[in-house]
Amino acid sequence: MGRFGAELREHVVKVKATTGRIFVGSAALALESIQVGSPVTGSPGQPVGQYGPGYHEGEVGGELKTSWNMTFESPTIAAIQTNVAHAPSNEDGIARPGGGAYNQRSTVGGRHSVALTVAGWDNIVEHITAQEARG
Amino acid sequence: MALNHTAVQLALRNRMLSLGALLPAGRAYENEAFTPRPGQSYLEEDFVPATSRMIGGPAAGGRMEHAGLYVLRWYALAESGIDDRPAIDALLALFTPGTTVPAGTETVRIPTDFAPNAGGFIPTADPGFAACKITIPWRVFSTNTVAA
Repeated sequence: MGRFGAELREHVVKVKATTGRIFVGSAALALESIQVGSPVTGSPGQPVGQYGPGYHEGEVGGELKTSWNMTFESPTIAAIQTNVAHAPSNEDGIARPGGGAYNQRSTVGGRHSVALTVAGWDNIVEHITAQEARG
Repeated sequence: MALNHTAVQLALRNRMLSLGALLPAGRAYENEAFTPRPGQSYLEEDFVPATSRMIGGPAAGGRMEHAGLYVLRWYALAESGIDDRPAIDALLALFTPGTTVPAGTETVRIPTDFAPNAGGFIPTADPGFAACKITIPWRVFSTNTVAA
């Protein structure tokens, strides 16, 4: 039992470590998917680019994109969040009170990045697991 | 043969339209001009193709999975309470997990791991309306063809 038991314990430790790496990698890819887009989920990422006529012409945006961040609340819970007020409108396309119609002015990024990331969660985990398997 | 996204979008749209009189009278289809009319609820449509990936080889004749979202924004009249909620539930009932919808030579499938869902009604910039976002995930499996 001695050697077998030791090998079993070693295997359990490896599985736990691998599971942890897959979770952290998946969470990081989820953040990347929301923030900059991902071919794994099809998310376009947050809009960012140079504004055109009629709206801060010549300036480069990116406030929303850089506002997203992730914190690990526990070994199995990661919170991905933003505190930018127009983030919900950018996600769902619904103009909130106090503003006019919500139009995307950037040529990069788009809507539904969070929804596409949630829908693509299985793909994210599969992708990271395959990476882990390759070592 | 590449996926016919037009057929997929029209299949989902026609499924939505089968709800008939329960739907809002106004329809803002993707990339079509539409001006909301005061006192008339309306629907706004986003068709969002997302990923296409091979899930079984070889490349020629292999199996492909295409996935995306069909997003509807349901603009109810402001201060109408939850009058529209039963109709939204009826709409979701048309797209329960496992539902299949013919789309030309392909079949659109509502996945079983991420079900269609509707959010709450939120106030909008136009004080005459309150909006509810409905998210319908879809998948299509097809056979890959490698062009000569």
